[in-house]
Amino acid sequence: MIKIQKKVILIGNFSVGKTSLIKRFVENSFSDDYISTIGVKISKKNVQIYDQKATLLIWDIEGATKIKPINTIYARGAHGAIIVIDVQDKKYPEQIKEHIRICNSVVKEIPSVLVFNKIDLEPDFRANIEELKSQYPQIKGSFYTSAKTGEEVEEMFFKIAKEIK
Amino acid sequence: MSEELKRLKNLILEEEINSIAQLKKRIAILEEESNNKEKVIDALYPIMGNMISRYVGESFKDFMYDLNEKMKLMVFIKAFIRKIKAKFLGISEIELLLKDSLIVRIDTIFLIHKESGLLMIDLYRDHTTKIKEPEMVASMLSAIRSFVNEWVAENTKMGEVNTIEYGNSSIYIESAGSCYLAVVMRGTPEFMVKNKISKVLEYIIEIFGYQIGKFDGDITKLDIKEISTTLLTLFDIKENHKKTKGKIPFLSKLVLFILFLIPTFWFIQEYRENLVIEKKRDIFIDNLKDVKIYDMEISKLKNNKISVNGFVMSDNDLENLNFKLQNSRLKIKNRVTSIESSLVTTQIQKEVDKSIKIFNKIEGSDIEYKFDNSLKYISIKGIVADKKRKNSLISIIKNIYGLENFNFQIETLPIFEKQIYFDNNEFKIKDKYKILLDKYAKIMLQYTQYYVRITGYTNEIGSTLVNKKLSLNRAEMVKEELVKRGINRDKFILDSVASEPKEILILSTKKQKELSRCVIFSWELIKK
Ligand SMILES: Nc1nc2c(ncn2[C@@H]2O[C@H](COP(=O)(O)OP(=O)(O)O)[C@@H](O)[C@H]2O)c(=O)[nH]1
Ligand SMILES: [Mg+2]
Repeated sequence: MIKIQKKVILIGNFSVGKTSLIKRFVENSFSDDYISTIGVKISKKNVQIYDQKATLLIWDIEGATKIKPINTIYARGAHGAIIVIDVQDKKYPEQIKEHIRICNSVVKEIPSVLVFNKIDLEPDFRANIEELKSQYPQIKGSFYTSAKTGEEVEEMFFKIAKEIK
Repeated sequence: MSEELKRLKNLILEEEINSIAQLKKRIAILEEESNNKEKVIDALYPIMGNMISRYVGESFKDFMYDLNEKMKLMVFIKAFIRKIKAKFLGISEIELLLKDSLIVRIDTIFLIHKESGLLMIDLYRDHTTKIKEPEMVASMLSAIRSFVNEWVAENTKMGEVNTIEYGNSSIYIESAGSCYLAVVMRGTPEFMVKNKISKVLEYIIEIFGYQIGKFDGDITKLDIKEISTTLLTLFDIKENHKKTKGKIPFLSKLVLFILFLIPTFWFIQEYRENLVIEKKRDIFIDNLKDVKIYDMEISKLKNNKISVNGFVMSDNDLENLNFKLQNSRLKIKNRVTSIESSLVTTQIQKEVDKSIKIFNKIEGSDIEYKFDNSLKYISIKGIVADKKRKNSLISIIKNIYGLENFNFQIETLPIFEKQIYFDNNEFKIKDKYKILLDKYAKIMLQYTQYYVRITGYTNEIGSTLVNKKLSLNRAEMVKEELVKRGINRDKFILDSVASEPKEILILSTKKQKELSRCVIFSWELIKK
């Protein structure tokens, strides 16, 4: 067993690509059979940051829809958060604020990264997030990823791993 | 509710072909009784057990998912075998009941941080019970636990869920403070086992609660060795299993087997009838609340009456039960017995014995006890390392059911408060330390079962090699002084460090240099 483990949560609306991002990144995860039953999928990834090994336990919390909010109990005790947005979603600032609000209601301001996924669909997309960053110092970075091509996926996970320590 | 049913349906679509039929049957029952919330939980359990077992490796394959119905039938067969055993072996049925309840074998123990679901410790009975990906299993158990608890809290009046049964195995969850224990075992845990598990966890919380509360994913910040030593005692429960088994002679086994074959059919019939009684039983159990009946069996009598068999832990409980039954409208014949008297003679003794054994495995503990059955009296005498452990020992003993009179004579080890300081580059002991050395010798003579570690230190100026030699010389000089005062030469463990002790506060560099030229005493708690 690796001596250091950290819990990372992935939050974002339904169908933004959370599960696909994890599939890109991890070697090991439980099958999807039960995710529809209990609403969370857990995966594991061992990472090395500088000279320190750590195990990330990544909780892919089934996404929010209008009728069903995310199950906040799964965010308890998390050490880091990945907030996933679909680049096609033009209302992203409100979405981000909402996710951070939910997160902060369960855990104390944990390091978070913003992820704009499906960049392959709108390669020129750039988000305006300076204001958000100054409003929420817990945002430690932002990435433009594609679970389809793999672009920036690894970088994003390593960033959050680094920020947690 | 319809949301839950949808989820279950999704599950069917993704399941392997062979389990589809079974699950469909379950859903059918569910939909039919969708107003019965407990049924939904019943249906969820085996699915979860199945989910877990699929990911935890070969060792679990034997205990794969069984239908609940099959389990209930097993209870009847078990009761029958017990009756016959009692006849053959000439021992009372109550004794067998008690032994039965101990027949579990603990395979795996997980200590899990409650908030984050991160695994702190995983222990296995042997290599065959190893689990693949323990960190993931721990997280998933936490997710399931949260899910079920939340769901149950929302939809039923039941308390926290603590057992997930599947096939012949169960995962028992005991939670306290900021962590919980998940114990995987063969069989279903009964009172004694649960009690033992909760005692052990209680002890861990009492001593290590603070560090567990602050757990941030870094295992090196926990006293893994000490916590594990405590948890390992749980595997001892297995021994009871062997003993019971060994006592049944082969011939009896053969006869039992033949007898078992004949009435199986009859039992199945009997089982069907009992389904009718279940409704009555539910009302009855609802009425019980604070009285706990172990190994309860309910059977049908003539003219729609039912009778209840089983045992309670105390005479008080029995009185309480009688009172409740008299005041209820249910026509129930009470055949429940109290095992208070037989408990005192056997179980209490065992409980005490085990608790003390756990304690003596903790470093620095040396405890003896005397137990007087007729007075329900226990006297405990000995030494533990510190006050915290003393208090925890007292609370554990006081919580053992059935004990009434206590006498504690527990000492804690004295602390070596003062150090011996040396001049620069010197290892000669100054005269002013004579009184201190006299005092320390006296302490050592009082606690001869322990060793004393003497560690020499130097300041950090000069070569490491020279400093190392110097600090060893300092430690040796101190040892010789104590030998002169009558302490056995091999009661010491010498240590030398070529730097300043970590314990010293940085005041000023000059002062620090002076303070670092010293010898420090500490107890070596491992008994040799
Ligand atoms: N083009 C494109 N499609 C994606 C990407 N990531 C996910 N998808 C698709 O978006 C849909 C939803 O993805 P999923 O991972 O299930 O979303 P989740 O609900 O957030 O877990 C699926 O059809 C994916 O194939 C991406 O980076 N690019
Ligand atoms: Mg998903």
